[in-house]
Amino acid sequence: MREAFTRRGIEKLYSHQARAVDAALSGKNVVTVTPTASGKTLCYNIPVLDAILKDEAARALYIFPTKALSQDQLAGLYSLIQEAGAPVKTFTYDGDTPPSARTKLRAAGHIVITNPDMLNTGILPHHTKWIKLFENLRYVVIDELHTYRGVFGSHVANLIRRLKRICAFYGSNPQFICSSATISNPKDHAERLLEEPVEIIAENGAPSGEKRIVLYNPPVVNSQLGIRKSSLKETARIAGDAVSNGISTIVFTRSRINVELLLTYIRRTLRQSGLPPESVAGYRGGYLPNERREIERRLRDGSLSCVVSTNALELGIDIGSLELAVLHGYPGSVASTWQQMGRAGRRSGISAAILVASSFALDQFLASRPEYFFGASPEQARINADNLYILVNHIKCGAFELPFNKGECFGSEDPEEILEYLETQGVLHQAGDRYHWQADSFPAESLSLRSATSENYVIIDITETARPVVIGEVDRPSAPMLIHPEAIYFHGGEAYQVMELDSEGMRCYVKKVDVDYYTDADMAVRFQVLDTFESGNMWGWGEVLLASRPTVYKKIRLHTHENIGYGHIHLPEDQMHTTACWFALPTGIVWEGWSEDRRSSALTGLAHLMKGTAPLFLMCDRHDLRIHSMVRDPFLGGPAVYLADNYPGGVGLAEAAYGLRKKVLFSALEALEGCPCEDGCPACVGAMGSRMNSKRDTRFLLDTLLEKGKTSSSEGKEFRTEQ
Amino acid sequence: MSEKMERFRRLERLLGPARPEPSSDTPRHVRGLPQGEWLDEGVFLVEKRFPLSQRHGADLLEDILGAGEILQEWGATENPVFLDLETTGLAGGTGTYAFLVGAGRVIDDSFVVRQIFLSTPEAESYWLDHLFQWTGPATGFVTYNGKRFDLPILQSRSILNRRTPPAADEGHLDLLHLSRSMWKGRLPDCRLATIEAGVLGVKRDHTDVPGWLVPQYYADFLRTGDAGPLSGVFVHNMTDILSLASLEARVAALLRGNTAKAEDLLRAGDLWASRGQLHRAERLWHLAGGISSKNATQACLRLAFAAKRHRRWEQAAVFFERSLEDRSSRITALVELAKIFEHRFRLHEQALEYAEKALESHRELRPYVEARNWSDKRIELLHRIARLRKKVPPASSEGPNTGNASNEKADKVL
Repeated sequence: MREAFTRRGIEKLYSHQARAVDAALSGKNVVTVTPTASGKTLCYNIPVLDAILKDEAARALYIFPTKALSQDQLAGLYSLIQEAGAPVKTFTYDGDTPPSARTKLRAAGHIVITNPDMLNTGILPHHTKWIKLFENLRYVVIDELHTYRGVFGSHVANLIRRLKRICAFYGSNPQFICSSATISNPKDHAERLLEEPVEIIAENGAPSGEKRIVLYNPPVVNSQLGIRKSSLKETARIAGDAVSNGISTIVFTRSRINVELLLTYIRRTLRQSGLPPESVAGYRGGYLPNERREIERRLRDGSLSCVVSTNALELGIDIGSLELAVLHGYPGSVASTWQQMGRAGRRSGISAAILVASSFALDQFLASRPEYFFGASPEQARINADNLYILVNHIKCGAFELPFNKGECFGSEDPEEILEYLETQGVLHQAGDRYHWQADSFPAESLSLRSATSENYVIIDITETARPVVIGEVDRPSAPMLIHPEAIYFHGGEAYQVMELDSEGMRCYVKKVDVDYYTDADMAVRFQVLDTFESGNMWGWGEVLLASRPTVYKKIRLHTHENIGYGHIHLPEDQMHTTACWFALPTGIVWEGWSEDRRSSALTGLAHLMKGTAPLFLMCDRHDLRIHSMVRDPFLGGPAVYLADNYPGGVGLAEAAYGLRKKVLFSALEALEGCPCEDGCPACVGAMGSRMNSKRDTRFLLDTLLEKGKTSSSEGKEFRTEQ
Repeated sequence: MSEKMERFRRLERLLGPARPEPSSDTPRHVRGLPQGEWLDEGVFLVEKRFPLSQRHGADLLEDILGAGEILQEWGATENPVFLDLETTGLAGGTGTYAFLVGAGRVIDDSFVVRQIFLSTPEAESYWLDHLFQWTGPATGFVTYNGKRFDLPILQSRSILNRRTPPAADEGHLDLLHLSRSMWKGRLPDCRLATIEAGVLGVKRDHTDVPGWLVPQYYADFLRTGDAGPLSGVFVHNMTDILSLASLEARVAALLRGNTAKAEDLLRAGDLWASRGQLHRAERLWHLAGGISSKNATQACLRLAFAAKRHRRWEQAAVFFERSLEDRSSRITALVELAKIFEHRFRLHEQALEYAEKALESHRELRPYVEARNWSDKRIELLHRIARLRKKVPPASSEGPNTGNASNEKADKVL
């Protein structure tokens, strides 16, 4: 192995690699926390290969968050093994593995590379076919540990509990070697995820080139209204200039539609400077796998000089090093921001990253207080493995895999009452002191780790009726917004119009069109409180029904972004049960004196602020939360703002918001105060609030909430309800 | 208590109300089982002996004697165990277990079926003990889809009970595959029940339970202890075992050529051919050819290819000639004849004649075939004809041929 490394030009390990390898060899669980391209793969490949070379029977399991990363790893590992001439067999086991090859791979593979989804449905429930692996499992490698947070992370924590139960059955007790991007609580996060002590290796011994970081706030074009130049167009301009000057560039943006808009705009810039528009490509979820692999390859070999991506390219997919990263808008977390900025200048030489602030409150907050960004420690990764919704599903899967013994623990949980409950449902059967799986079903199959649903709409181009072509896919939750009938759907910079949305067959038929506008749908959202868990005077949290339905769409002209028309959308309501934290706004003499418009804009302003700043304290993504405000809430009998988990069943965000309610309010106040506008602008109180000059009104609401909250809690008026 | 109740409430909120079933940890008296004996706590045996002279459907049970020898090529052994499981589900994976196994074998002049029933999942390890005691260490199995379903489940269950799993493939005759080869396209599907009705003449009576209801019946039994409703499952399983025996005997008979249906003989011949047993295949195809003219041409085509594989060119040519009447394979046969006459007999004129006939037949196909495939094949035929024309002495070429020659050029340009 030493020779193979020498041939690759690796004479000595970096200090962090050496420490990681030492710790692993001494039997500890290791988590390396280093930036991309610091050689983290060696930290786990060395101990794993060492173990297999010493004992042919030894096995290792590698878990990557996505299929794409698995493929990338396989290629790297394979070439290392070849160079070492070692008889180590390694393969990926995922949905793409041909069934004919599976039997052989299960018995012979030393290193099995997979993803959490396949572990859930393909490996753990069939563990008797994997005896060789589970009897001899020495190492479990988990890469990109930071991606396992929130709901997804809670699922993965439970997968690890299931994995350990099975290992214990076969008498193995594997060590974990993990890597993570920078987060503020790597040790705590890893220990919650693995439920074992870990050793953190955080220093980076790898050299890196000089990098300049620019926070750019587009200039104000209307100081009265506080309107700035469009961040989208500024991003396109910067990227277009860079590419025209031969600078390889990656552009990150937050939504799929923005990927397509930026792609269109940058291509136009290139065409104007006489450059080939194909030298820039889009990259996002919804592109077909082959298309994505091709883009990755072209980035590596340099035939593509610019890519516009969602956070899909944030993870460690090898795309070589680029010189410039342009971030359209704050990605939602400090960790993501550094990850995305890290895409520029991975190895050496000077590079730059530019964050173009959008009009979102949080972006404007950061642009006006850059020290907040540079001084901020990265977010905490949060999981709640004992989230009942998630836990129950995994206990079902666990019982399917091996009967539960009475008194047996599931991670840190005592599952007794859940098992008892499941028995009353006829899912389990208790015989003696064990619970056996009794239902005629395969529980792992109905459990999706990623979001509420794993279903995708397939987008089919029927421009040529006789030759329908699948061009992409859209996940089910996004469908009502993105591919409602008559919507303009952009793919690879081409415009298509949705002709038909077949929600039963999960198909969306589109035709190529030549239009100069895109569509933006409005959602009508309905909140209904079903149950209160805890409440005080001004706030509470509990279970809610969150129903949404797209109502109208606007046609927005490309480049100018003016509104040129609208249409109605006829789609059924989507319903979701989740948890929400609410704030009941004080009414009184001042409120009574306000007009309806004034009330609603003050409230919207508050909601807008919270949407921007709450994710900072709840350690989640913007999209994990849904914020809703109502002037006359039927449940609370007055004005209210709701902050809900954007996941079925809830993931504890509302619960946390309830616990951190003061912080949530203070940060909103701080963002409002920190905004340099006079009467309210799109950055602080949002587009609607700014039209009504609602800065002062919103501030009044916040002040009263904080004031009243202070007195009510000091008087100890809060109470717990048990219903 | 209150915290526990609160969690229980949340569970009910998430997943629906708990059923007010009585708690099941009180030991229950099992009642309503068919006549039999307890082998162990939780393991119950029902044994039935059938004299080999008894009929099952249209056949006698004694027909299975010697079937294993014929079916050796497909994994059969001399004195196998006919095996079928009833399970808690069809999903597979480690969460599915079997609660009833039917295992039949010939002992002296009887066919003895043991049905071993598991009355609680706790006793699974004993249940496996009794099953493997009965089957013995080195017996082969005869199953229906056992390679994908029954044996993997037994293997999984063995591993979960820390026993050595039985081999899945060695000495295992899975009749599903043979049945597909014999009856696919002739019966609506290849389920065992369909074959029973369509081929074996077995009638299931009203006490039989449809397979998809079986898991629910067993789950109900575990809750109530009342095995009465399961009696249909015992009947169903017993019929399966007897039908497995009949089916093995029937397939063996067909492979021996013991049938009056030409289609049976052709397919049986194909089965032998697929195992490389060409002489046996040819014998059956010969028999098929003697039955009706339509099947005769099919048989001849198969025989012709067999002869070709043996490099018996004259024989191959004769069989190809005789298969020409069948429209579906006429072009293939003509091309084969052209090849044999060109390369083996070096009779180029005749070879050319066959090739031209093939071209003509192919032209007639045009309305029926997709344009692209049609042209590909046509180009191939034109090449063959062009090559043969060069070999045929020009003396014999007359007026029409010169016309063809210019066509040939045109084709080349194309």
